[in-house]
Amino acid sequence: MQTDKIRNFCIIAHIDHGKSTLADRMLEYTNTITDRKMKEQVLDKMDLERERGITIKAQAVKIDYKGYELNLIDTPGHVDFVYEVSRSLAACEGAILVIDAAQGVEAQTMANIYLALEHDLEIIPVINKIDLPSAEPDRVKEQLVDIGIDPDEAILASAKEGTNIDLILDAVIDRIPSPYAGNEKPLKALVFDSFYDSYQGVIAYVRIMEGTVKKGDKIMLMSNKKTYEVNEVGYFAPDMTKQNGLTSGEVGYIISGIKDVKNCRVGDTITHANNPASEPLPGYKKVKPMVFSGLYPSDNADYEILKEALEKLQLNDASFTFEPETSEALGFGFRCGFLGLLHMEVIQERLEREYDLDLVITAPSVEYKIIKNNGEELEIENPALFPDANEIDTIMEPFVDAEIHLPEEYVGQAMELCQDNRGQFKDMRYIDQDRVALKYEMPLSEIITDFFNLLKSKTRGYATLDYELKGYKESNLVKLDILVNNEIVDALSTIVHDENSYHIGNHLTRKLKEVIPKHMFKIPIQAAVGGKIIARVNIPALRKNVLQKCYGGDITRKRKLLEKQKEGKKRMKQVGSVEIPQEAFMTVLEQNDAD
Amino acid sequence: MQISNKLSYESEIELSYEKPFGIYIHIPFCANKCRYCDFYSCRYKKSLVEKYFEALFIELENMLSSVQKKLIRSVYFGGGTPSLISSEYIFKILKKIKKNFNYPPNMEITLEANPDSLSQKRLVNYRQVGINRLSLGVQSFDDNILKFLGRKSSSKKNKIKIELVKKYFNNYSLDIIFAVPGQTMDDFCCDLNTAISFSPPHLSLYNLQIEEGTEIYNDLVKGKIKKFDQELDASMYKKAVSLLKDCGYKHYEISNFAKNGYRAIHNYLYWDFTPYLALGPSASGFDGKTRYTNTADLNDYIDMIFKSGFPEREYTVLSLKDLAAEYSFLNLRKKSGLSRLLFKKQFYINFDDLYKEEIKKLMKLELIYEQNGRIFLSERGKLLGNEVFAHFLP
Repeated sequence: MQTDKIRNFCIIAHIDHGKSTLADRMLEYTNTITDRKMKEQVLDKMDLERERGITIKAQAVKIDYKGYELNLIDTPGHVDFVYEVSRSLAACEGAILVIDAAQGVEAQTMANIYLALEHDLEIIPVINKIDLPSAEPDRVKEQLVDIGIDPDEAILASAKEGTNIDLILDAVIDRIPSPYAGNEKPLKALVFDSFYDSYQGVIAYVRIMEGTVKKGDKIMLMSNKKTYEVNEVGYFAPDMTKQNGLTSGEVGYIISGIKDVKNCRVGDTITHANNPASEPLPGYKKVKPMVFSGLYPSDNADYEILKEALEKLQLNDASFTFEPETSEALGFGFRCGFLGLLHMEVIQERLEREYDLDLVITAPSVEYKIIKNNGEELEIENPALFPDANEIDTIMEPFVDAEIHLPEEYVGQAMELCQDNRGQFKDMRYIDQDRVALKYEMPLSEIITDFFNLLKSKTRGYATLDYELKGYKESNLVKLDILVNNEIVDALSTIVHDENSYHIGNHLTRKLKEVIPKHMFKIPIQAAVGGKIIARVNIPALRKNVLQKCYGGDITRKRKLLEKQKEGKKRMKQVGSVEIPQEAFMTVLEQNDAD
Repeated sequence: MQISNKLSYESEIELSYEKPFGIYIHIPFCANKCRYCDFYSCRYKKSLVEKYFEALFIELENMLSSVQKKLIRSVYFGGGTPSLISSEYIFKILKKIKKNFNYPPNMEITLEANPDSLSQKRLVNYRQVGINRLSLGVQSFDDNILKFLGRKSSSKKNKIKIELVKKYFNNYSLDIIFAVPGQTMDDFCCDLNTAISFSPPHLSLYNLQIEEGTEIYNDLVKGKIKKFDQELDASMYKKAVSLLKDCGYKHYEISNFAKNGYRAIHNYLYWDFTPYLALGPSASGFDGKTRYTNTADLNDYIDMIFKSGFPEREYTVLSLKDLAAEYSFLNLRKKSGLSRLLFKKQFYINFDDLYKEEIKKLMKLELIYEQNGRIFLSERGKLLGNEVFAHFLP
């Protein structure tokens, strides 16, 4: 294809603003997908993605329209995957910015615009869902002015009803520049996603930035200098369609017998082994997990199954890490690293759903940097492994810049919440008459507890949140231990700010009292910092548990009740002589509960 | 014949009553639904009662082939509210039973009665047709508690009706519910003392179970009421046990107390692992190996009987381990405990072969103790019965 007939673009939007629906309509309108029975939102492939209404992995589709080749790259729609988004954007020359006509500009809309501008993309604003009775396209247009986008360029559309899809497609051709033509140059192909197929190995999603590639070429990944031979190239239409080669400006896939996605990471540059480009494309970085938690099989016998499952998941997800760890309380398991909370939830759900595993999950933690008195530096993401307080000189923790968009009337509550979570106020401005953008600098550890849920509930669901890692800062942190029946339960240890330790200790002990069932003896639950007990509650001994009623001889009913009781005990973790239910290990998450 | 381990339907499974058994007849009608009740019941309607008894007769008739002429030990009319039913129906069904079975002289024939529905005439009639024991659902003598439970009777009415019952029945039982949200220790003692003042030959004490789907459960979920304090529940129970003992009652089963000679023969079957035949919707039976429960819905019950002669039933065929477990935890409920010797006689296997570890553990927890080859619940074990019982499940 001639380069000037190619348009590469993505769709960016805040969650639920209709990105995937718009993509579906464009595919339908252009007959890219002829089967009328196409599943809603073709581009979101995983069940989980469809259920949650978000895209987890990027997807790419080639659309033929009016003699042009339009490559649509669908980007992940969540802040956890911001790096993946940035690579997808780097593969494009333009972006359709979808804004919900009723919701208006949201935190992620802003984040997406900044990203798009960073990549010098031509933005086509689309005000979607104009079919909704609550749609206010004029208000949204005013917001666009405020954020520096020409409202006259906005296209009013309803993806749901298929209104003005043609205008959007025409705009893609008219407004988005064609890619740079450089077939004669050495190959530079940007990997913007990859996935693992058990038959063909890694399938790399690429945008050819310069040069050409064809079957049989010897290629090299520039980050690790590993070389492979190309087995197949092609594009997605939307199914994989073999081609002789890909030329400058095109989007497609390369299969070359790579066995592990770790060797073909998002952001890497593919070049020719015998005529390599002088330097790789800018922007490659190895994404590092930001959130860590322990995953343990409920039944220790499932350890090997969990291990295999994690290995399989990792084949497809280079940003997810795991390594074995042992907990005195939970036995053998894995410390896993995730990009963020959503990423963590997605992986947990897949493990439980696809591998039928029953898991105990410890509360998420961030990676702390510790400088010991003797100058030794440590990076620790498992609170249980913290050194003794008297060995520590400095503790540093990751901070983020958080941007919250919300209606003006909830600003008070949101600010209070941010302050409660050690947020440092940075900025506040109006997006329009009644929506406000708040900026806070906050410790990441506060965000990954249930901050977002609380924010949602305090703002009746109207607040949106976006955050970006800023760097490490020193904090006055302490390790809070929980003792159950006088024994420290390592999996319940957590790192908290010194000032909050009493409050959190109190809250946690009371919360645990609610979730740990009564035993036949009294169980003290204590919170301790540096060996000093700061909070204590007792779970009184079980006094009475006997079914007195006879149910007219229905012994089976009685028995079912006993079976349920016994079954419930099986699903608990035995720590010393105490049986602790799985949810107890997550209560640490809810430490900010209003109480 | 195909027998699945757990559930199977209809007449695939043949029941075989080899030992003497009791007969339970369910009367599913109520004047109104109590707020704590999760049993199947329907509003009393004369035409429906007529139809129901027709079906009941067919069910009994069709079961006869395997059990006719066998020795029965007791008959029990449970509900629902059997005391809503006119004595003619009771008479007819008892006549049929007596005609087709062997039975001991003075066989216990119990009818559950709601004080609200009793009149002198009714009592005389029941007595005449052969009922010789009444189980009275008094529940409380406290008007607030009665109201909370959704009982239509009042404290005053309950007292009057008990006096009336005493004129015609020397064998009767009072059901008392305790651990009702809001109830204090004093309230309970007052209730208990009132009950004792009638000197009933038998008392059943149940702590209120809040079952899913009941009105009280909904109140709990909505936060209108609070769960009853376990400590107070235990104190009330202990108080009752000691008070009733002082008044000459034998605590012969976890929830049951009787003066000498007035143990409930039918209820005792359940704990004693004696079989019982079940008739009527939602009734549960046991032939010694298989437990079954009839479909709960009255209309389904009637339809099925008219169609096929049998109601739809859920069967649970018990394995040896299941049987041993049930035998053990049921017997442990009794004052006389669990006899190792009788266990071996029943199952041809040593008790220790199955439960050695469990027994060791439970003894260490001081929930049970052993004396002369019998195992008993300790006082603490009686309060924590379910903790003990669960240990026997396979």
